[in-house]
Amino acid sequence: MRTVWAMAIKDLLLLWRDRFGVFWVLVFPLMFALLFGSIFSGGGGGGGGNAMRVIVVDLDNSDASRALAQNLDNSDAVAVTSERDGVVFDEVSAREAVRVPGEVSYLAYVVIPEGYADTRPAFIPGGDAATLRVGIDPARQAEAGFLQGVLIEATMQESMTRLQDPAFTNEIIDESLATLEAADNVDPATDFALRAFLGAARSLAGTFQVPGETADTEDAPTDGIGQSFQPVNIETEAVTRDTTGRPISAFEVSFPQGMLWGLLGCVAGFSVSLVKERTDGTYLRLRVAPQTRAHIIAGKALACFLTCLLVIATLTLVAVMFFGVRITSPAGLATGVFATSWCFTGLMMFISTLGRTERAVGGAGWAALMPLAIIGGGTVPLFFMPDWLRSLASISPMKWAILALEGGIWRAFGPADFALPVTVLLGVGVLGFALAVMMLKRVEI
Amino acid sequence: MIRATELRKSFGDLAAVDGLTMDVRRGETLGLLGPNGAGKTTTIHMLVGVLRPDAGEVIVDGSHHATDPDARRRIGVAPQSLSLYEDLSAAENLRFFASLYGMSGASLRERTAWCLDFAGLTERAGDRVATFSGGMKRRLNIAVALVHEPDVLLLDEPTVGVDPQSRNHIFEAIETLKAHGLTMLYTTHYMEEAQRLCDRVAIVDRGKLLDVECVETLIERHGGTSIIEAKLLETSVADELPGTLIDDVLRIETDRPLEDIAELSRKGVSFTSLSVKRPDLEAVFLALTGRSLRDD
Repeated sequence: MRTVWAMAIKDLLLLWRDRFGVFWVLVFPLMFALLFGSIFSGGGGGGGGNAMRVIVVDLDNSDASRALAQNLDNSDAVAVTSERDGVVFDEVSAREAVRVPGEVSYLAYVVIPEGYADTRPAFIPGGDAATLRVGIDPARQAEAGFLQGVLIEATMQESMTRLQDPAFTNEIIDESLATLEAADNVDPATDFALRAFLGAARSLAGTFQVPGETADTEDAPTDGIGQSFQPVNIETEAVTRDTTGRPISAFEVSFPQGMLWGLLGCVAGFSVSLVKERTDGTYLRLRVAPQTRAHIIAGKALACFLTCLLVIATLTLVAVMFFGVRITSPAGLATGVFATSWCFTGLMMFISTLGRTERAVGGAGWAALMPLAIIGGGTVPLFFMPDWLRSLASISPMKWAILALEGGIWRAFGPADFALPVTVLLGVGVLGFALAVMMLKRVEI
Repeated sequence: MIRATELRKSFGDLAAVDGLTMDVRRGETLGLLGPNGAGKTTTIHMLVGVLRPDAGEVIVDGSHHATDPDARRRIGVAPQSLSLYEDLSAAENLRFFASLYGMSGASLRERTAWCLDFAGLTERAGDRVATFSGGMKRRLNIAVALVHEPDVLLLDEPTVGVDPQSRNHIFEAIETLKAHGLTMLYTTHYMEEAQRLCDRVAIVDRGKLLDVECVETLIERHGGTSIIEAKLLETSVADELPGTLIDDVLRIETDRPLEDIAELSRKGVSFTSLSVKRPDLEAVFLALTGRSLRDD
């Protein structure tokens, strides 16, 4: 066993000193995971574009509420929807859509209450800002804060649009003066100030501008007005998302794929290294030493196996620490990682016997592995595949590797769910070893 | 020490080794002399058990088959190709190969240091082999074969592609090993090396062993006569002398060149130049195969 360890350590040392080897085994998979994770990361958490998907439930169904929804949708950061498959969301269905992500997942829902159009801006005496209800996962604080800002901006734009109408403004002022007249507990100074203010407001009626429309200087009056009052109240409702069996971010999908490419790098690298031992003559030295062929194969396999573990462990660590990737089933993930590493080590052994030169083995390796990786979910995630392709993918060990890894990461597999992928992976590994030993026996003592 | 009996190995229609029988005796250096493609490397591979002979057998130290771990521990091999890990340092290569033979701890450290000194690489112990010259790699290639203190060292064309300075270093190193009584099998296609280093030389060609003996005996058996060539000052005395005269050069074929030169001197023959061509292994090879060792 000591000689097996010695050979494995030697191979790990050689790999570490080979910059290209390290790139393909560790750096490239990480780049792959980050690139595709970033590309497919959406604010809504379900992938597909960068805008946060928000459901608007319009209970008021007025021009004002529709304008608010439109303003919200006009924001680059938000994509608004109010129906799914032709069915308009109500509060219950919107809440459920946010709580349980489907093919499309939504970040939040916004309820515009009935009577929204009748509410008055809060700066008016007796005015009462409308209260919008926002349902969002408490865990997504950053997105919630951002959405609140977008909502305030959209509401303010809508309020300003309304205030541009002199009739609406005068109506508000009349209502306010009537309220002031009726009040008997207003002290004289306040009464005087409010009357002066409302008088000035009447003279300005119809001159309010929507922020951004005509203001061309930083100290334009509209800016001052816009910053001086809260146009709407926002009430947040906690909707804890049920992410069981669903990825909460594109990184939960891209990292297992990155791991797969890292493992392919291991297979390609180590299968070539075994042939390189032959062409460089070092294999002869290994063979004349007092050990069996099995020791040599075991040493190479152990190095490949340990490298596979290292690749997966490194990517998992990065994914968990920096990208919020979950480990829903630690024991399952450990089992999946073992089975996957075993499988790829067996594949490496088999591929190393497919040629007599480094070029032949390298070519044969990639020719065999690339199609398997592509159909097995190495590029397009399995759940994006059409049914027929998903069925075809079953012939690829890569599919089972991805399943085993995702099973521990976001699919929350139980032991029964792991059974099939793990069995397939272990079986492929054993088959690879057996074929490799058989083929090596044909050319040596 | 190593006995090979009726070894045969064919690759397709080509008989690489064809009924080779030989014995490497304890403490001797046996040369395996033959042109490229004579079957020398194939023979070595069968002797160390990495190639299965079609027929015949190899016995190491009286009782062990070549594939036995015990036999392998007794043999060190310096392959013809540089069998080293270029991205490991000299010391790392030595330590790794020593570990394959179960060495560890102080004995491993001492032996590694000895091998580095033997190869003249102590100063470069931590440098990667990729940065070494061809000669340094050759020396390390031999040192690695010695790291586990084998009883027999098989050297397969150890000076191929080596500059004269490194070649001399290798010769001196081998002579040192020889002086310490190490048994060696030395394959080469350079007759000068075989003549200088080997106690006995086995002539091989096309997979067959043609003869094996010490150099003098081989020359005596197959080398033919020596040739004296003397450019005479006075050709009138030529009629009284042995040999043939072409222009002013007297050519004498003889088994006793020194005695014949003395005889010429006694007869008062004067010459402007004198040369003696003694038969060598080249002549032996030519006599045995009908072609020159350098033809290939």
